[in-house]
Amino acid sequence: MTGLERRHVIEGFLVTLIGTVILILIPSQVNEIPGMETKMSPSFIPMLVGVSLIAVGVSFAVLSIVGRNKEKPVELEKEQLLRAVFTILLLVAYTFLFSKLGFLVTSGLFYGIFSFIFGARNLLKLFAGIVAVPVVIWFFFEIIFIIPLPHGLLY
Amino acid sequence: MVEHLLPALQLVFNPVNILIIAAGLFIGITIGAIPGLNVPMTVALLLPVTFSMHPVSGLSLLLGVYKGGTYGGSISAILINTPGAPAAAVTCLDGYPMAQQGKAGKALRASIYGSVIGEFIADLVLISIASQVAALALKFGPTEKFSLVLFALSTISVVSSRHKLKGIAAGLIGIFLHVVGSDPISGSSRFTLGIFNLFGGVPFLPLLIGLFAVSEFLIQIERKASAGKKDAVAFISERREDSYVSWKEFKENIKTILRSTLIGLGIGALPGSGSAISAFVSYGAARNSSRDPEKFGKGSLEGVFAAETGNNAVTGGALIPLLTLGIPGDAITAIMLGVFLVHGLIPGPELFTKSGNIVVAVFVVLIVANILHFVIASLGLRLFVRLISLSRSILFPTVILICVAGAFTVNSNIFDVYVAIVFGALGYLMKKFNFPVTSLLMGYILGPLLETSLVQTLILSDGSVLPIFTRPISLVFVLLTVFFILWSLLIQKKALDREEAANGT
Repeated sequence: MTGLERRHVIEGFLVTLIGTVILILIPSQVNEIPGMETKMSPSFIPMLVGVSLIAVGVSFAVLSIVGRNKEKPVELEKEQLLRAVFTILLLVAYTFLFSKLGFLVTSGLFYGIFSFIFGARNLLKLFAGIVAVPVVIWFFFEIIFIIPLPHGLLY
Repeated sequence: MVEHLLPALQLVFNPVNILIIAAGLFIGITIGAIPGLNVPMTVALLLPVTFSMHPVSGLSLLLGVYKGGTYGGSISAILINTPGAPAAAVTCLDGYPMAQQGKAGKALRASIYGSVIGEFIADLVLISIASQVAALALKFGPTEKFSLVLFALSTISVVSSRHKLKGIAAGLIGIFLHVVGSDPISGSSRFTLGIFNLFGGVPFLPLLIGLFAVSEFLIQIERKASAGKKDAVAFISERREDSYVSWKEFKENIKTILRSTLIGLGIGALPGSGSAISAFVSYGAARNSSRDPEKFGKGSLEGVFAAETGNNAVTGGALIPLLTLGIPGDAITAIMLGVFLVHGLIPGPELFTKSGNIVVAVFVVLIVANILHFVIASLGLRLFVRLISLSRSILFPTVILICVAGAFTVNSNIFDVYVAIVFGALGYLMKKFNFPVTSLLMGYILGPLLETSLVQTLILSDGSVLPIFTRPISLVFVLLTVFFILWSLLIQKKALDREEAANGT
């Protein structure tokens, strides 16, 4: 089995795993109504989806093993994945601070961080963006559409 | 109806009303273009404003937002691969690759032409045969609806991915995501993991923002090192042939435009269906009848025409059941129903007999809105295209700020922002492993209709699935589903064989 075929088999296995997890979780995560017919049961569609995912995952893996899966490989670089994980952590931090400190201050700070990551090095433009972009978005949401944003401790 | 024409023209053709239509279009296009803001939310926010207006002025504003917003979603779909509305998701498939090839101007203009022509023809059909089409749609029972959703889902799964099984898997995961929350039949909770915020289901807008906007942001961050500044300038071309749709190209796509208009019109007339289904079905139909199906997904002009004409033609179709039967075609027309009701007007057959001037005025508004749509979208195009010439270091941080704010504003709840981040990570991984996120989204959107129509069918037939194959309209959709899947597999096999032959030589 080539590396590519192995990757496809793993993908098929993951799809099968998702279907299996759905089926395993049904008894604890679906509140059945006693005496309700199967076709009306709240677990009917989740069960159908779980079984279908297992069938699709197994088919995918089998097709990969017998060499019928001709899909080209996907480039996956460790450095790229790490950058994505780091960005997700930054977004979680932004969201956390956004609710505590308020939209304007937090957004200015994270605009600067993301802009720097994207390569902004002109300090004047960077500071102009840090001030202008959150204010424009705030004005658009709160004043034009009257949709409140969190004000937090600092606004 | 002719006797109502003069009073209707007087109602519509006054400076204030024309300005209201233009304002609605401008707001709609702007909202449609901004990820995180959507047309139903805007229409709902503007609804109280219309209460103090004449019903025709109120409807003018909302119809302007509806038409503009449906088109506006394509702008962000083409320029930053983030559909401003679910209906524009399919526009990403070819619009964004065109932008990457420096043909953003051409894709955006194709989007305007397709949208306006689709709307215009659909509105003419609405005016002429509204009652007949709506009567047919009314005959659709749960069995037919189930077959239609099945057909739509199969179309989506096979068109949005080179590997059909990955498309189907993504669609199934989308259906599962709809399951989270309360069961529509019994009301019992399902897969909420004990999290209170999930009792109402996975919130739609954060899911949309996460799958399309946050995941794209992660992809763009990742490309920083590998692509550098090259990507930013590749979007824009100074060459005229890359910025405009030539007459020759337009003529080559007339069939696609007309076909997509008919699809949009038909699907729009079905209650519960919407522009997203229409865009996908139109795209699938165009791909299957195209002389160059392998170009789809790689920057096909035909793909952009099909998707945009299909989704905008729905706006005319969705008004058919609303005006003639009082049944809204989608969420936006459901909100519009409020304008009628607050003014003591009840949409349906009686509206035609008792308030004929209002009905005719709405028809006139639709035609005027199409003309203004073309003017505003064309004149504003340079402004929108300029957005993409903004530095990535300004554009993408701005986009992520809007996304976070947009996700928060749905319920003024920080939980929704975390949901957007989770689906951003999921969307990123799906893109890395070639699982189509559009299939997941459509599974999620169509899941409720699929579940309720299937359960209703089974209840009505005492547990038998036979009606799906014995009821004529349902059978047509089932046969279309089978035909479409086989046809797509055949085309895929031919394309792969061609690729293999090309690699071998």
